Amino acid sequence: MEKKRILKEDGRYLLYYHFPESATPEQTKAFEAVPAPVIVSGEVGANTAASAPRAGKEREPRV
Amino acid sequence: MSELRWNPVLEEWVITATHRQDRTFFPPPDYDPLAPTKPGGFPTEIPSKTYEIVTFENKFPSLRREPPEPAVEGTEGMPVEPAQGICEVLCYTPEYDTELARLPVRKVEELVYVWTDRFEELSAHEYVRYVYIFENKGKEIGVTLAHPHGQIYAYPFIPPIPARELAAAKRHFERTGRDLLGDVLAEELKDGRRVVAENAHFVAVVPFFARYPYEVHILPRALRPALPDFDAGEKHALAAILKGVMEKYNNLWNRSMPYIMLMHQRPSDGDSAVYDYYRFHVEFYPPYRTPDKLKYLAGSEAGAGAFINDTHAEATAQTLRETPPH
Repeated sequence: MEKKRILKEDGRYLLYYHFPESATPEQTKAFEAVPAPVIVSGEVGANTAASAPRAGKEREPRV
Repeated sequence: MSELRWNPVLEEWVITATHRQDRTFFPPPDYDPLAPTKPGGFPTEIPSKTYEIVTFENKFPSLRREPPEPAVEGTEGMPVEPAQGICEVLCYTPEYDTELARLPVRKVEELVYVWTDRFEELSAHEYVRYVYIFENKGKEIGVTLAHPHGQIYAYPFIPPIPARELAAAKRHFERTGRDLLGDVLAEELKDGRRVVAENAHFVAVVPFFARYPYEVHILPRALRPALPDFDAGEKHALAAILKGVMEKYNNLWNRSMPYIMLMHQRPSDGDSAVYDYYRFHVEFYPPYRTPDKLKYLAGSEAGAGAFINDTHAEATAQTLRETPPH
C-alpha cells in the first residue's frame, strides 16, 4: 500500500491510497500524477475512562 | 464555532459545532463532492481524475487540529475547552452508485489496511485519545451525502460508550484474569443460537444483550485490542466477514439496508500491551425492526438509557444466519 499526502488550498490535508496490484491503469496514472512524495505504509496480502481533565492539551503530533 | 462543554451531571463532553448547520445536504450526482474532479466539471473535494481510496479532513468538522478558542467561558464546575481533534471523510471508491457491501472482498481488505493506517497515524498525535472509525449509511441514519463513504473521528477524550466498555473489561480482567469480550464470545459460541456467521478468525453474532433487533457484533477469535494487531490473514478474514454481514443485511428484505457501523478498539494513549484486557470489535446497528418500521430512540432509550428491544436476539440471529450472503 502506498499513499500520497497533499494540502488543499484551505489547509486541509488529503491522502490518496494506492494498491499497485489491484489498481486499474487509469488509477495508477492518476496516483502517479499527484504531486507529492510516495509514502509506503503496508502491503495488502503480506504479513506484516472518559475524564474531564484530559481533553486535548497538546497541539503538536508525536511524530 | 465549536468547543467542548463538560457535563458534570453525566460526566461527559458535549461537542458544539454550529458551523455544521450549513453542511452540504444531498447534492445531485453531478455535484457529488466526493467524486473525482472531472475535466471542466465543478471542483469536488478530490482534485484528481480518479482514485482508489481517499481520506481527507472534513470540510465541516466537529473537531479541528487548530481549533478556535471557545465562544463562551466555562466555570470550574462546567469547564469549556477548544474542540481539538481531527475529523476525516474516507471515500471507499470513486463510484457514486454503489456501497461497501457491493465492493469485492479485495477492496474491503484494502480498506482494512487504510483503517489500520489511519488508526496508527491519528493515534500518534499527543492530543488524540481515541480514534473512532464508523460509517453512517442511509437517509434513516441522517446521512447527507449518498456517495459511499465512512468517517473517522480522532477525539481528545475517550467517548462515554468505549469508556464504559473499557472500565467493565478492566474490572472483569482484575477479577478473573480473562478478557471480558473473550468470555462473551465463548458463551455465544457455546450457545450457538445467536451466531450469524463465522470464519477462521472472526465470529458475527446478534449479541445476547442486543439493543437493536438486527444488531450484529463481529468479534475476533483471538485477543486483539486494535487494528494494527491483526496479521494479514486476520485482515483478510475481517474483510470477508464484514462483506458477508452487509450482504446478508441487503438480502434480508431485498433492499439496501441502512446502518451505523462502528469499531471499538483500545484508546490511543498507550500500546496494545497496556490494553491486553480489551478486544477490538465491530458493531452494526440497522435502524429497522421490520421491513417498514423503524426502531426509534424514544423516551426510555433517549432519556433513561434503557433500551427496549422488540425482538429476541435468538430469532433475529436465526433469520440473518439463514439469509444468504450473496
